[in-house]
Amino acid sequence: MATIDFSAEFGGRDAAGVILPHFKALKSVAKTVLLEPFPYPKLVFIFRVDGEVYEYGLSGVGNLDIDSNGQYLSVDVGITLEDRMDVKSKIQKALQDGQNLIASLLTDNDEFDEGALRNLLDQLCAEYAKLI
Amino acid sequence: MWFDCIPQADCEELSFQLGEVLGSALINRKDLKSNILQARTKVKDFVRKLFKGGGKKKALSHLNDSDTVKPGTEPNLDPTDVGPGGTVNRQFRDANGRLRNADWTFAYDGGPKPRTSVGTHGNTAADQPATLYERYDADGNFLKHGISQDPSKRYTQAELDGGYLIRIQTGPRSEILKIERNLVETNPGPLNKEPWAGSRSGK
Repeated sequence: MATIDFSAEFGGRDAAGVILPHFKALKSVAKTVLLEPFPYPKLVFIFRVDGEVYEYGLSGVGNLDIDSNGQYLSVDVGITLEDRMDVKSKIQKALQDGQNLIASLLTDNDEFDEGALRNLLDQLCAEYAKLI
Repeated sequence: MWFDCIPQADCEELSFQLGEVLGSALINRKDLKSNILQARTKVKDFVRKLFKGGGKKKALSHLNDSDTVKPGTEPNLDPTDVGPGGTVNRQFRDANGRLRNADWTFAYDGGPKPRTSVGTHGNTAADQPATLYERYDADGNFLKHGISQDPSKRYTQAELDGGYLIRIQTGPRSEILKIERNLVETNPGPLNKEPWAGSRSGK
């Protein structure tokens, strides 16, 4: 059983101003769901958002990372200055693309159910859309 | 030179012993001083044993007259080696360019040389780029002001821990340090543990 969580790095106050409402909405929805089965205790999406101070230059999902202690699996979600024009749809697309990315990594893992992940992330997207 | 007469086997033995002592010193840095002293003692014992009986003269005895130091005739002599009245200071430069006395001890050669390296350590307050950031926890509470010395670094979930980080400013580390110091003194976060944190709170 795994929890879903979100973390973020903002490349400036301007980036935080645009993305924080979405970030907080996603976190509040994530508190209400659990993913089962999943081989790690936590699935995390980390936003890397371009801003006036620093640009990560990432768009969409990538950079799967598994904690050396096996405590989490994280996926980066890049948001460029251009992506910030339509944040809601970019985030929803990233969550859907994240399903495929994670599935490609864990496809042979007995503790992973691709259907369960898809259902849960779809539910998360729908609840998030209601809040924003 | 006089040390040419030292048998190669003895040199190898000394190298081996020194390697053992200094290797142990590097592994356990706490005992660095005592290991260096131990190495010095080993060298002294070795040289004493080597020249036991005839002393250094014995080692030098096989040399021809042409090898002995004479005013103005030694090819390695510095002009400074000839003292007042033509007396010889008996100092010379070895193959590595180090100034030595005739008894092979190091001679004073003007003191430490200025460093030529211009490299900087990550914590040096110089012109290398640094980024000032603010860190917040998972509930959006401010935790601390901090400095990252690698602007391209991407923080992991273990570091962010469900929270977020906002990059505030990038610039030369020396400037960023001053700004951070001012912020930590006047408006610290609970994780700013510096001794000066909050020293000017409310100012």
